[in-house]
Order: sequence, then C-alpha cells, then structure tokens
Amino acid sequence: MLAMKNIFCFIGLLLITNPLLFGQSWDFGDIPKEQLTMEIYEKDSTASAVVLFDVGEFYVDEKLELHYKRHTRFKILTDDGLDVGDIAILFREDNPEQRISKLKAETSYIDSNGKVKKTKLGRKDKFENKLTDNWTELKFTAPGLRKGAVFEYSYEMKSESPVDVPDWYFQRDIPVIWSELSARIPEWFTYLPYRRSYHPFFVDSQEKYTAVANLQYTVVDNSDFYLARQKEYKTQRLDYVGTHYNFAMKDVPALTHEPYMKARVDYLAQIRFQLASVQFPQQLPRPILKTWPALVELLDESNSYGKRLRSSSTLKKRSEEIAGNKETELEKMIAIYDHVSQTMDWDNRYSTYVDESLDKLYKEGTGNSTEINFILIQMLRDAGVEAYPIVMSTREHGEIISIYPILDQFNHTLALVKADGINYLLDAKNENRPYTMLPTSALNGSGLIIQSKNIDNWVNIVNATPNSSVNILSLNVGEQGELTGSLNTKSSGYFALEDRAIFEAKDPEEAIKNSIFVDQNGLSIDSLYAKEVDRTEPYQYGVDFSYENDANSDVVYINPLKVETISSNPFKKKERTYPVDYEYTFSKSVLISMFINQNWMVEEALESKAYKLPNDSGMFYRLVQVQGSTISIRYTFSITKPRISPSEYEALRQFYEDVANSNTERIVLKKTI
Amino acid sequence: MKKFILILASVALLSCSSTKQNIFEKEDVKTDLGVSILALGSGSMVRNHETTLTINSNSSATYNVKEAVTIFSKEDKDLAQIPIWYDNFRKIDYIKANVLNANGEVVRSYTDKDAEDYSAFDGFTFFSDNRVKVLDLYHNSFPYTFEIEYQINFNGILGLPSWYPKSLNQSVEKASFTVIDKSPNGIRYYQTNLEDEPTIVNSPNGTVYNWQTGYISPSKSEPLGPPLHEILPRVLVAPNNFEIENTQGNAASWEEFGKWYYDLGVGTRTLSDEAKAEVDNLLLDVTDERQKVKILYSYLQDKARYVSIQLGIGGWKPFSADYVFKNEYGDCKALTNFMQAILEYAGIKSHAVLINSDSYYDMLTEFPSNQFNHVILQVTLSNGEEMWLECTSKYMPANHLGKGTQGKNALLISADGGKVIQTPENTPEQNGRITITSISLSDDGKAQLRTEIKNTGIFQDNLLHSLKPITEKKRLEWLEDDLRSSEFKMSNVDFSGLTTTEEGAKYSYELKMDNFATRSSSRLFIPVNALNQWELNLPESKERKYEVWLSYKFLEKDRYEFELPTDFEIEALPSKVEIENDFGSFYASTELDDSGKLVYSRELKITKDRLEPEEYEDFRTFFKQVSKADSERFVIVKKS
Repeated sequence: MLAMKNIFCFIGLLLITNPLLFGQSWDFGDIPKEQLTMEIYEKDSTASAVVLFDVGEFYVDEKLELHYKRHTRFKILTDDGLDVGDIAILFREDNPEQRISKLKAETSYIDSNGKVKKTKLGRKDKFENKLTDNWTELKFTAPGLRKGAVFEYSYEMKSESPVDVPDWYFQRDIPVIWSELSARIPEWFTYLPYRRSYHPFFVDSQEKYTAVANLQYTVVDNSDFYLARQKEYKTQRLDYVGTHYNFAMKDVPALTHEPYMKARVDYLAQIRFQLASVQFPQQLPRPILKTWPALVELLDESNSYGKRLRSSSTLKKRSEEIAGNKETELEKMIAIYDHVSQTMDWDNRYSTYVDESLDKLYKEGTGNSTEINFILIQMLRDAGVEAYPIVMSTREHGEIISIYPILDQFNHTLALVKADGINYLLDAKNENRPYTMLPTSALNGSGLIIQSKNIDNWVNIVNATPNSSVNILSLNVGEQGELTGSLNTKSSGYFALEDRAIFEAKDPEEAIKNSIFVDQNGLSIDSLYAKEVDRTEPYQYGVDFSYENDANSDVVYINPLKVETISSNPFKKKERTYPVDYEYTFSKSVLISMFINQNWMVEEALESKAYKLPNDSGMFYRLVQVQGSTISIRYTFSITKPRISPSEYEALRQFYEDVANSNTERIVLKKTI
Repeated sequence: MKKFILILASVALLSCSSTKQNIFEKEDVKTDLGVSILALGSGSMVRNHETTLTINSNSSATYNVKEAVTIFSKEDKDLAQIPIWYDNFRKIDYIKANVLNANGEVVRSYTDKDAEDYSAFDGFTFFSDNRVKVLDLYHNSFPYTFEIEYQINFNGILGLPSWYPKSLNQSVEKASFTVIDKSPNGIRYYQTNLEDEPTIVNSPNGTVYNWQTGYISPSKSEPLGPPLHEILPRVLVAPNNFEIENTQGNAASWEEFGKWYYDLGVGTRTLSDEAKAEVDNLLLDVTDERQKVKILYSYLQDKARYVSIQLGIGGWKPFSADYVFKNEYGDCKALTNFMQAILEYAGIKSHAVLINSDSYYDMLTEFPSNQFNHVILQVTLSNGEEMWLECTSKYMPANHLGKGTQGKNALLISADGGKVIQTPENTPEQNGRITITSISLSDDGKAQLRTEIKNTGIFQDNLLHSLKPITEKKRLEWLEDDLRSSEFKMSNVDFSGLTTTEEGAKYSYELKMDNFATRSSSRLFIPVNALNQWELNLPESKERKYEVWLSYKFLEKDRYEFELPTDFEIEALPSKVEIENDFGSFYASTELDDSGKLVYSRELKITKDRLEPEEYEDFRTFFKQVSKADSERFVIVKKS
C-alpha cells in the first residue's frame, strides 16, 4: 500500500557512544599527567604545538538534521604555539542554517607550586564575526594559555541539512598525534567518502550495525513532492541497518610550506563526505549529488551562469565594430580577445558566479574571472565565432575530485573557441598576455565544457607555447681589464611576458639591473632597445652594459654568467614527502663569447660540465672552448618534466647544488705585459 | 507573454536610472581638454571635494563627504575603490555615487546596497568591531569621473576624522573643508602642507571654519621617503570636550586629555587576594626596588600574552587587572594596567604613557588630541630613577623600549593629568650587531666555521622575537635558511646566550660547509663576508624632494679570521674601504695577523635617522659601496 506513495520520514536514531580506542580517554577536562609535563614532541622536535587528539563524529537525526560534534586538545610547547589558542569556528547563518552549541574551552597547566591550574573560557569572551552574507565565524581565544599548557575545546553543530558535512583534515601546520572521524549513517542515506593523503590511514573501516528507529512518516497523495498534500500521519518502529564509518590517522606530520608546491589542500590528509542520495523504505531513491552531465545542464541553465550568456545590443555593437571587418574566424577571435583583455580589468577574484548582466559589467570595465571570459565568449558568439565556457579549478584552488560533481570544486571559467576548425583555450582576465598563452594559475589539469546538455566533455588545459629564453652575451675585456658587453635576448612563453614587463616598467634601466642581471655591483646600462613585436611572437631585446673597473691589479676574475643563473640551492631540506611541482617546463640558454684584450691572457678558463636529472626530467650543461683570446661558453639549463617525484628528490637537490656551484665559478685572466 | 512584461519592466528601470541626478553641477565635472592639461602628470584629479563636518554636541557629529574625481588611466583605477569605515560609534547614514562620462553625464548610479561589507581589522588584532563598506566605481573608458556623497553619523566622539583633500599622484582642482562647530566648548585644528588658513565666522548656529584650496600639483612618493601624512596636505580637528559611551572628557589640553584616560583606569587595578599572594611570594626577601621591578616584569612576561581585542570604548578602557590575572591575556592597555597594579601593590610608583608606536609617526605636541595607538609604562623608583617597560613583549629586557617607542614624544598619565615627555633613545652603539667568525679553509674549498653573534638593542629585540618562541631544532632551521648551499653540517650550536638582559643576546655555532669557497683548478675564491651581506641598490635621483627616513640608528661590526690552507698563497685581496659621511661610516679592511691568519674587519654605522633631501645621493652611493664591499671575494692560489 505504501509502495506508490511518497513518504516524508523522521528517523529517531539510537546513538552508540564511541568505544574507547587504545585506552585513551577523550573525556573533557581529564588530562593525563604526561600531557601536562610533556616538553617536546619527539617525532618532530621543531613543533611549537601539537594536536594531542582531534575527534569528530556526526550523525543524522529524525528531522534530517545533521549533528556534528568535535573535541580537540592541543599541547603548547613554545610561545610560537600560543597561536593555536585563537579559535575560529566557521558556520553558516543561513541556507542551511548551522547552529553552534555546547561550546566549552579550558586550559590546564602545572603552576609554579606544582599544582594543576585550570581556566575556563568566560561566558562573554566569544565573538561573532560576520564574513559574508552566509558565513560567520565564532571566535574566542584560550584563557590562561602559556607555554606548557594543554588546551582543549569542544562544541556541537546542528545543521538544517544533511548535505553539507564539514571536510575533515587530519593534517595541519602542526603535528597531529591522533585524529579521528566517525560517522553513523542509516541505510537510507548514501554518502560518498573521499580520501586524500600522503600519510597512511591507521583506521579506515566500515561496519554494519543494526538499530531501531521510530520512523514517522506522512502519507501523501501525490508523487510530486511539491504538490503533495498530507493525507495520513503514521509512526512505525523500524529495525534498520546502518553503516558505521571509522577513519583515523596517527602521528600525522605537520604540513609545512616547501618550495614548488601546489595548493595546500592538494596535500593535506583529509576525508570528505558528500551526500549522494536518500532513499526511504519503499520509496524510489532521491538523488542529491548530481552527475557531471547534470551539473553541465545545471550550469548552462543557471541564472548566474549560462543564462548570462545572451546577446545584448551593447556587446553586439562593440563586437561588430571590432571584428566586423576581419576576414577569418581566427582574426576575429584575436581582435576580440585583445579588446576584452585590454578593456576589462580583473578584480582579483576567482568565482564562477556572474552577478550582473554582461552589459553592465562591460560598461564598468571590471569583473571577476568568469565574468571577463563570459564577455569574451559572448562577443565571440556575436561575431559568429563558436565559443563555450569551460569551468575549471585554478592551481591555488586545488585539484578536481572526479567522484564529486559539485559546483564548489570550480572557481574559474576559460573560453573554448573553435576558430577556422581549430580549438583554442583563452583566458582574457589580464592584459599583456597574448591569446596563445594561459596564465600559470590555469594550468591545473582539465576543465569541463559547458556545451551540450547531458554530456560531460573534459579538456586538458595546456599551453601550446614553449617557455624558453636564448641569451647571446658578448663580453669584452679591455686594456685595463675593464668589462663591457652586450646582451641580445629572445624569449618566448612566460619568459617573454616577464621580459616585456621589465622593459615596460616605469624605470626600465632599474628594472633591467634588478631583474635581468645577476651581479649588479658596479653595473651601468649604457643603452637598451626592445624590438616592437606582436605579443604572440618571441620577445627580443638588447642591452649594452659596462662594469666599473676597480681591479687595479695584474689579475682579474670574471664570472662570465651575467644573466639567468641559479646561484643558490632552493632545496635545503634533505628529504621531501611531496612531489616537486613546477608550474611549467622551461629551458634557458646563454651563449657567451668573451673577447680578451691582448694585454691579458687566460690563466684559467672554466671547465666544461654537464649534470642530468634522472628520467630526462632536466639537464644542465656548460661547454667551454678557448681559442686564442676568445672564450666561448654554451650554457643550458632546462626542466623538461613539470613534476618530480619524492623518490627523485635527492637527485634534484644534488643537481641544484652542482648547478649553483658551477654558476659561481670564475675565469682568471693575467696581465701579459 | 510573461517574457514581454519582463522586458518592459527592465526598459522602465533603465530609463529610470538615466534620469539620476548629478551630485555636482555637470559643467563642473566634465572632462575637457583644459582639465586634461591641468591634470598633466597626475594619474587622477580631484575635481571638487567638499567635506562638511557638523559637530552638534560633545557626543554627536555628522560627517558629510562630497567628492568628484577624474581617473585618467587604468593604472589609477584603484582610487575608484572607495572604503567607508564604520563601527559602533560611526554609522553610515547613506552613500550615493555616480559614474560620469567626459560630458559630465551620469552613466551609472550606485547606493550603499552596491557596496561590499567586510570586517576590517588587521592580522594583529584578534577581534574588533571595525567594519568597512567598499564601493567600486569603475568604468571601462578613460578618462572618466566618479562622484560620491556619503554621510556618517557619530554617536560618541573621541576623535574626529582628519581631512586629506587628495592622495598620492593626485592633483586637485578645488577642494574645501567646512567645520560647523555647535559644541559648547569649541574645537581646535592643525594643518600642514596647505597654504591658507581657514576663514572663521561666528554665527548663532555655531562657529564655521572653512578651508579652501585651488589647484594643487600631484605629490610623488620617493624611496625611503617620509610617510604620506608628512607629504600630503591635511587638516586635523579635535574637540575640546568629548563624550563617548557616557564618559566625558576634555582634550583642550594634554593635562585634561590625560586626566580622562587616567579616570578610565580608576577602579580597574584592584587585585584579588590570590594575585596579591603571588606578588608577595615573588618579592619575599627582595629589598632592592630595581630588582623588584625586574622580578615583577618577568612575572608578567611569563604569565600573560598579548591578544588584541578592541570593542567600543574597550578601545580605550583597559580590561581590569583581575581579568588579566584570571585569563592571562590582554592588549597593551590591559597588560600595562595589570603591571601598574602589581607594582602599586608592591609599593612602586608607575605611570601609563600613551604613545604612537609607528616608527614614522611622532605626536604633535602642540595639538592635544587622540594621536595614540599604544601604551607603555614608566616606573619611577623612590630614588627618582626611571625605568621603562614594554608590557606587550614576552622577551624584552626590563628598562628597554622597542624601535617604535624610542626617542618619541609621549603623554605621561597620572592623577594630575597628562604631561608631554620624551622617551629615551638608543645610541647607534646600543643597537649593535657584533660577529666574530673564524674560518678554517681546506684546499678543496671546504670550510669549518665558528661564529659568535651578539646583538643589542633593536637587533636584540628582533633576535629574541625570532628565536625565543621556537624550539631548538626550529632555530637550527632558521640558521640554515640563510645558507646558499644545502651541503653543510651544523654543530655545537649554543643558544644559551639568548637572554633578556641588558647586556645583549648571544648565540654561536659551528658549521662545516662543502661549497664555501668557489674552486678552480688552482685557485679558491673566498667570500670576505659570507654571513652579513647588505644588498641595497637604491635608484638614482637627481631631484630628491623629501627627506630620507630610516627607522633606527645602528652599528654592525664583523670580524672574520681566515686560516688558509698551507699550500696556498694570497693572490688578490679586496681594496680597503673607508667612507665617512654625516649620516654614517663604513670601514672594511684585510690584514695578516702575526699567526698568519687573514683578518677581515668591517664596521657599518648609521648615526642619523632623518637625512636631508640633498643627502640622498650620498646615501645611495654609500650603500652601493657597502653592497659591493660585502660581495667581495679574496683569491688564493696554489703555490707553484
């Protein structure tokens, strides 16, 4: 009888308290003596504080509300660790509403008389700070906090909706000794857990349990949820099966910043829970989590996304003015790209929401990352060029989790353009970058095309232009040992952008000294020129320079490598857990010809050298030839794989060490007369 | 059908907005050729600016700003982002704004609904009620003009807003500032970088002050130049009497202002019996007063930490001594107040001293008003000797001030009121960094170093605040970060000298480094000063307009003793450097001592922190020479 009816359910769940794991007590205020007397964390003696434990659990109650509990205990080891006492708990004021309750915080330490002193958080000593329309933070700072203290706090959060479970991070910027999340989920809810970690799980289990719930339901007379009218009200005592998830990590190291890392969230050990579907007894499942194709459709039809792409007289008119006289689609595309990237200013915000009409945004000349590329797409469409949005996540925002078709995973939109049968990926949110180049922040895997409904097409986001710089450096050693020279450089890709920015700076001479030359001491720039080339072409410039001559001796020492050198090793740590991630691959070379006045002879030239990274990931060489009074040096440094695995780290560190040392070596010249 | 109605509605809306009123007269804000010529050299131009401040009573005021600014290029569009600050005492009444085209016609209109709202406190503050509304008045073609009018109501007055008619790189066509003073006891003003004094008219409705200015050329910033408030035209206004959250004060004189602050603290220094017992216990058998102060100061440093919470009048009234005792944290006022309370209990007299801790801001002694952002404590011993305490620092020695509070004018607070005094200032020698390093080189370029570093004064503060809060292991990483190579081994690291005594803080370590010297087949190139190199390359400036401002005076002394490998001989040494200037000196020299060691000595001393504009070029060249000398290497060659 129930089978054809829709039921709205309330479930009363019996909660079973967490079993005491490994004999540890999570009881609030019950601080073992060894935690109070602990002075250093043996596994990482740099730690200023440690998380002794961080225990969370959640369940869904009979009103479909999510109950979330958390209890965290810290040990402060040094004054730097006092910062952990500044707590901010983020919650939503609305949609869905989340409420914080039962907040407790207490600090304990052994005072000078050897007694345990405890200080509780005062009732008034907490603040609410409204961050955005939806998000607020509850802030408080630990009372009685000092070096050596143990500080703990706990709270409960009730959320109107079971959809948003806060993400759980096992890892922090301080070490975590124990971190655990458990969830008890009745069979009616299907959550998709997602695990990410470079650190092993200590517990990753799920087991079935049976329990009894008072399932209250109303029987309604229409299968359409929105048109339903209540007909009957019933209560039924039901046995059900649930899944008890347990996740725990032990001795999780601090995640500290190291050079060449991507978004922090890509490394943090974490577990996420996403509600995928709800199905009550004798009902059809109700999907909550979308599929990728459904997400494409949702975005396409959203009032703050796809629906914003529509023709307006202003944009159409501008598009015609700019591209009307262009012959090919490619020419139209370039003209419109150049116009949008120069006219529209990025407000430094990444977002996938278009809050205003494109018309208004265009007139204001400022927009977020998606708004600018929407104007680009719309103007291209107005010019008859096929263009689609591609939603994506930037490097700073983190990798896409492919099992979660969730909008929040994206923070940016690119344009996919089909011009004269060729696909181009464009990002107009900055001037100075030619259409052939995407910003480095966009180089983060793939993006989703918002085109045909119910199809999820993913595009790999890459730059076609290689990043290289070729420097022809000619050096002259004069009669008195004075050094003059000229530099002629041709650079492409990101290096072309950098070089152009230097020459277009307010004071190019200063910028050249600071950003191009390695040795600024005694350097003067005598003349400079930059060739006027299209931004899609390699950038070309030349500089004539000289160095002050104060070597009033019979010997001079010259480091001929005046540009593009690595003189110190960025990889100081002996070990590395995480891959080294270059934003892009590149190669740099310097071709040096050094002409020496006849008053001088070469006492020591440089040796030829070559170093390589394993798996052809990168190489360095320096080829030196001496012919009479001329020394020729060919220098090349290249990284050919963007990601170096931790197992290759030691080789990488040694590689940079060797390169840095080679680059400081000098040529010795002696006076002949 | 539905769609059709929608379109109609939007057309109606659009036509509505095009009838929006200008804030200023259209003729006055259009951008013609004449305006562009007048604005030459500035990125933006204030076309008209009218600020009116109406002081209704001691506790209420209305602040109205009307401004039109023409933006000439995209580079200066940041000036079209308008922040409007508010808090519990300052409420935004309304905001309206327009973007205008070159003809002065309204293109778009805005209200406060278009502004983004943020909480507005810096990273050092844990919590405050300051918020800001930000309105972006952008447009896509240049030049364009925006005009804005907003009004803020003050329901409590302590300070009044300062008037700046323009910002950096901005010129002014005309601007005015009007103060209508209806308060019973009047106001005072202070102006800088403005040519004319105000007109003052007395009327039954109050006294009206009016500042007018015509064209002002743009001010440009310069490297190491003075802060903005020194460069830009500005007017400060202060009430003689004020009222905020039911407290009343008088700022007509420093004496009265100090009295008000003193009264806020009355009754907040009561100590509990428990607190008294702790103090008694600490001072048991201690008779020397100076010693008592040191013991109590270090008790405070161990006990309490600095947390800044600024709410309402709490921005002025300290948390009670009892609160600090119980919760073991507080801001500068609360910690100073607590220190004062325990000293008082111990029978030692002390006074809070209001100060501005920004290195580049010294109080205007001739203009009593709220110019402070910090408070420190002055202790007066019974023999009349003074001691100074910075109560927010966990590590500073007693009787020591940080770089922002030295040599400053400040307001000493007592029951008698406020009194302007001068805080003591370190000599260059008292801000010292002295290193002695011995380096033994082997013939393959490897080095064994031993170095001892002693810091005093401001260098000591920096060192202690970097190293005291972290573990020994972390301190090693701190040392390692400065090395250019990853091939090293550190040993015998001694941080036991990181004491908070007045004699200075010391540390020492040994280091084996593989790539200390650069090798060639028969030579070694050895850095003379590997551990303390300056790299200060300032741009040339033939027409320096402003003074050079430095944040402190100091002395650096470095001595390196090199033990050379026996089968090598010296081929080249850097030449001796001796530079003396009005603002400082630099010496660097090498010599062989009796035991055959090569000794490199270096001394850098800066004796002035305000330099005349004419001295800039000398200063630039001075540091160019220092940077060059610091990067030198000497060369030794294998004996043939």
